[in-house]
Amino acid sequence: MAMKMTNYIIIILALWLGMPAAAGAAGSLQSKIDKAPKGAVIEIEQGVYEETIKISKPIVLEGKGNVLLRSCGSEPTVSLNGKGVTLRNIHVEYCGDEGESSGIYVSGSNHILEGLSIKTKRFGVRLDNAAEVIIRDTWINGSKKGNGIDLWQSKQNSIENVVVSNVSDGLYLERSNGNTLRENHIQNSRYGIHLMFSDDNLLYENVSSNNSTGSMVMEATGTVIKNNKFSYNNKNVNAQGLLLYKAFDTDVRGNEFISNRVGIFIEEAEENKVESNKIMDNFIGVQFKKANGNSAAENNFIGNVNDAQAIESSDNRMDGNFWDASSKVDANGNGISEIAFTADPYFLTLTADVPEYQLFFQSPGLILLQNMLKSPTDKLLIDSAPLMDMTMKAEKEKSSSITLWIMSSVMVLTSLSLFILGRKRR
Amino acid sequence: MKKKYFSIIVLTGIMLILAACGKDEVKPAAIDEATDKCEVCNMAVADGPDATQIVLEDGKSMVFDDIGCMYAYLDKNKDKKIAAEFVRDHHDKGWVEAGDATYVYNKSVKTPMAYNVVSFKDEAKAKKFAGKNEGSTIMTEKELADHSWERNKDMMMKNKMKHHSHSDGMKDSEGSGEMKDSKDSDEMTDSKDSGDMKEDHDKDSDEMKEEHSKEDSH
Amino acid sequence: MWNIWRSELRMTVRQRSYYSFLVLWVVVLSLLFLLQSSAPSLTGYTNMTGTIVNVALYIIPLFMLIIGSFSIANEMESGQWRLLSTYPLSTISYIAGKIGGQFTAQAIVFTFSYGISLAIGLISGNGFSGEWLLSIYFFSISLIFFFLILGITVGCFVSTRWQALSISVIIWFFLIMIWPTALIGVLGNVPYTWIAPLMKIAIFSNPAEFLRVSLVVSLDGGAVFGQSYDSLVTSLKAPSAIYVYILYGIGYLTITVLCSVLLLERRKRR
Repeated sequence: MAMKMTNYIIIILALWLGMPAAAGAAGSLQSKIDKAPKGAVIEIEQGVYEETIKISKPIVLEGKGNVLLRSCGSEPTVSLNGKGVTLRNIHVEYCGDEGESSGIYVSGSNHILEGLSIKTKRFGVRLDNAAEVIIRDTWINGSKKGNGIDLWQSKQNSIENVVVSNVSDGLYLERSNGNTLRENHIQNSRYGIHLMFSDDNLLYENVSSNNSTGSMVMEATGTVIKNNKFSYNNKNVNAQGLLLYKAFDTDVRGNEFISNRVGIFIEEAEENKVESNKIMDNFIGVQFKKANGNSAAENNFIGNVNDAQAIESSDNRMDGNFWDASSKVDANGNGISEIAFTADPYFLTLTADVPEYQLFFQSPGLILLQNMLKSPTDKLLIDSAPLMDMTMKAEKEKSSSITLWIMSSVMVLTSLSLFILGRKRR
Repeated sequence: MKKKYFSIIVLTGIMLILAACGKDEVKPAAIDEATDKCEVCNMAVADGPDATQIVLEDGKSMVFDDIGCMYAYLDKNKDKKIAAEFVRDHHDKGWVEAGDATYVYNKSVKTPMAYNVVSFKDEAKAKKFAGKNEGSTIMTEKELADHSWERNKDMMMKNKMKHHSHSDGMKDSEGSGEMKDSKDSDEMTDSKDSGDMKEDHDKDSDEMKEEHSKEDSH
Repeated sequence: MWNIWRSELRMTVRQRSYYSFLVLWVVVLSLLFLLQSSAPSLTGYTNMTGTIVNVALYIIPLFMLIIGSFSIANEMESGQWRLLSTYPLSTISYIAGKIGGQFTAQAIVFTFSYGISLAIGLISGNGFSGEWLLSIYFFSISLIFFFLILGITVGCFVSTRWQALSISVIIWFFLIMIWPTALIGVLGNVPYTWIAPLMKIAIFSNPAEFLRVSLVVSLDGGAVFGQSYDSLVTSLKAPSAIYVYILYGIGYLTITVLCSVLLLERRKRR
C-alpha cells in the first residue's frame, strides 16, 4: 500500500516536471464542453490549458496524456454543478490567491473525480451542498492557505485514496453528514481530518502523520474511526493524534496512535468508545478533560512516557487495557493482573492553571512531588483489570547489531587504553 | 555598610519600576498562529478578525478563535478576575475592547466555531455590514450578553433528544431566543430591501471572502 | 597544570573506590539495558528513556558532586594542599588540572562501563537504536562534567570531607529532588507574567534541568513543554544550537572555576 502510494506520487511529480511548458491551447475547452451533448465523453489533448471551465451537465472529461488546467483568477479553475459529471486524469492548478477559491468547486450530486492531481494556493477541492460525489486516487498539494478537500453541507460523499499535503486541513467537513473517508494520506498540514458539526461520518484506514493534529472531531455525533494510523503528530506544541471535543458516540477502534505528543485527547465529550487501539510511544497516551462516561478499554499502551491522565472527569471506563510499564501480578492465571493500574492527574492539575510548568514533564523532582502529594482515589483514573500480556505487536527500531558491537568495542577499547595510559605514566 | 544601603535602594527602585509596569494599561498580546490555541475549543487561532482575547488581572492572557468561545469561557469561569476583553474589528483586524465594539449576528456569516457573530470597531460599519447581509442583528456588548449563542439548530435538537449534557450555547431558554428574534425585526429597518441585496452582495463579497467569512449560498 | 592533571588521573584510577564505581555503573547500566528488553518499544523518547534519564539524574550528579568535592577536600585534610601551595603553581592551573584529571578518570570509567553494559545487552539478544544510545551517553557524560566541576567548587570552600559530603548532598537534593517544588513555591508568589521568563532563567541556572531539556529536545520531544518554550525549543533544535551548548559549557566552567580560584586564593592568604 505504502509502496503503491510512493510510486504514485513519484509518477505524478515526474509528470509535473516533465510537462511541456507552453503547449498551445487547442481552442477553448469551455466551448467544447458547451457544444457537447449530455453523456458525451470529451477527451482532452495533451497540453496546458490556461482557462477556467464550468460544467453543469452529465459529461465525462478525460485527459489524454499530460493535461494541465491552470488559472490564477478569482474563480475556481474547474466548477461542477448539476449531476453526474466525471473528471479523470487531469492536472489542475489554481495559482490565484482569492481567499475562498479552489482548484475544483463541486456542487450538485453524483460526480466522480478520479486520477486527478491538484496543486493549489488556496483550497484543493470544495464541496458545497454536494451529495454522493466520489473523489478517489487523487493527489492534492497546497500552500497551507486552504483546506485540501473542504466539505460544506455535503452528504454521502466518498473520498478514497487521496494524498493530501501542505494544506491547512487535509479533509475538512462542516455540517456534512454520512460521508466516507477511506485510505487517504494526509501529511505536513495543520489538521489531518477535521470534522465540525458533522454526524455519522466514517473514517477507515486513513493515515495522518506529521500534522499538528492527526484528526479533530468537534461537536460531531456518531463518527466511526476504524483502523486508521495517526503518527508523528508531535511537532506542534498543541499537537495530538486525535482530539474528540464535544463529540458523542464516536467509535474509535483498531487505530494506531504512534509517537504523537498526546495520543488521544478527549475533552467535554461523552459516550465515546475508544477500544482495541494501539497507543504507542506518545508523550501522553490518553488525556481526559471534563469528559465523562466514555470507555477506553482493551487498548494496548506501549512505551508512552505518560500513559493516561484525567482531570475533572468521571465515569470513564478504563478496563482491560494493557499497560507496559505497570507492575503486574497474575495470581489465578486468567491473564488479568490483580494490581489495578492507576493514573495520577497531578501533572495535568498543576499545568492547567500555569501551563509554564509543563517544563517539569517527567522531571525527577516532579515525580517525587507527585508521589508525596498522592491525589485522592476518586481523582485517579483506574483500570481495575489490566491485561498481563500485549494483544498487539510492536516493532522496535533497531540499529544493526554490528554497528552496536562496534560502538561497544570502541567505547571499551578507548577507555581501556586511556586507563592504562593514565595508570602507567611515570 | 553604605554599599548595602545603596543596593537596597536600587533594588526597591527596580521593584517599583516593575510594579509600575504591571499597573500599565492592559494590552492584548499578539496572536501566534503556530502556537496559540483556543482556550475553550482547542482549535488553532487564526490571526484574523474572529480572534478574541481575555486578559486576566494577573496578566495571563487567553485567546479564543470565536467570540462565542470567549463567552462560553466567561460563562464557565465567573470567578476569574478579568482585566480586559478584546475582540477584533471585522475589517481591519485591530483589537477593540469588547465594551466598545458593535456586534452583528447573522446566521449566514461563517465564523470558526459557527457562532456567527462578528465584531466592529464602529457602529456605522456594523450597520453597513448588517445592511448588506440580510437577516443580521446588530448588538451592543450588553445585548450580546443575553445572546443565545444558538448555532446549528438541527444538531442542537439532535443532541437534546439524546439527553446529552451538551449545553454549550443553550444557557438561555428557547424563549429568550425567540424574543431576540422578534427584536431582530426592529433592527432590520437598517437593512435595505432585497432588490439591492444582490448588487451589494457582489460588492461586499470580495472583502468578505478575503476575511474568511462566507455567505451561505442557499 | 598537566602534571596535576596526570597525577590526579593516576591517583584516581589507582583508588579502590574507582573500581567500585566501575562495578556500580556496569550493574546499573546493564540492569537498565536488560530491563529495556521487556519494553516492546524503544524509539525516541519513550517511558524507558524517561526511566533511564531519571535514574541517571538521580545518581550521577550525587556521585560526581561527592567525588569532585572529595578530591579537593582530601588534600585539604591531609595537608597536601598546604604543601602544594608552597610550589610555584598557580591556583588556576591547580583547579584546571584537578578538573581535567577527575573528568578524564570518570569519563573513562563511565565509557568503559557503558561499552561493557551495551555488550551484555547485545549478548542477551537486545536491540537498540544507535542514535538513542549516543543521546543517553552524551547526556550522562555532560552530567558528569557539569556536576564534577560543581563538586570541585564545593571542595574549595569546605575544610573537611564531612563538610564536603553534607554540602554535596544538600546541593544534589536542591537541584535534583526539590527543584520543581521550590520553583513552584517561589513562582506562586510572583505576577503571572513573570513565570515564563523566570522559568527560562531557571533552566539555565540548573545544569541538570538544562541537560534534561536538551535531551528531550534532541529526541524530538520539545513540543511536550508547551507553548511558552516553543521559541526556546526551536532554537535548541536548530543546527546552530551547538554553539549554545558550547557557550553554556564555557560560561558554566568559567563561573565555577572563577569561584574556586577566588575561594582558594582567599585560603592561601589566610
